[in-house]
Amino acid sequence: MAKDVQIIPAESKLRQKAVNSNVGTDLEMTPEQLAQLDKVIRASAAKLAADADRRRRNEPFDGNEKRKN
Amino acid sequence: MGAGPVQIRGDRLISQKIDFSKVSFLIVDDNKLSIKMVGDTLRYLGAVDVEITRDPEEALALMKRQRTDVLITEWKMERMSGVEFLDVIRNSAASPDRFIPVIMLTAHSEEPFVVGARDTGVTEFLAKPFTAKGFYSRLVSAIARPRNFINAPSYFGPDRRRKSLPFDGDDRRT
Repeated sequence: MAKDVQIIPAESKLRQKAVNSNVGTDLEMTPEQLAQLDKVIRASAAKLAADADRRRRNEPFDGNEKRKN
Repeated sequence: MGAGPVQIRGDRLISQKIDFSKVSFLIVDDNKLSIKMVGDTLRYLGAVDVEITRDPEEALALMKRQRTDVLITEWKMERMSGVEFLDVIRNSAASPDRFIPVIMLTAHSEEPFVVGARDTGVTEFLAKPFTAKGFYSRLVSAIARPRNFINAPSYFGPDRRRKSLPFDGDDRRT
């Protein structure tokens, strides 16, 4: 290895703080847990789209009316 | 380091867990959808300390004021690209924490983007739209499987070698 390359050992403070065997989410999720998490992600995207759509409907239209009678 | 998902205690197998309530996250992104999806996912997992900013400069100020454990950012931002932001984090004297785990999300999953992010010192890279499995595995790697850092003239960041492969070529060192 080149002399001017330094390897700094991995910082373990975050791991020590967050990883345990009692509280939290398993390091390896089951397929059911992953499916539930996927639902959360999809619901989040759907809610944002619905909110945007609702806002757009409630905005007053300030363009020219071009509909034909 | 005991980074495996299961520990043996007595005659029982104990699965290791991440307590997300102990981890503080900072999302730096200017895309509403991405912010919402990442934020909601983290909160579902139990995170309570989730800060959000659209401005990388503000993110640096936030990091100086308060402890941030994991940074989640996006490649494409208006004020500063995610890679420029990452470069400041890893290489600037003004960086609040050069060692912070950085997860980069992006719609650009082409090789030059992946290599660019890797060579700037990204911890984890995830293409959008992301799945639960992809996002969660990046969180686990960033939090539970920290990597050594390399400090070289042309690179500062997590060790880019993920596997320790035996070398079976000629030893040409003198």
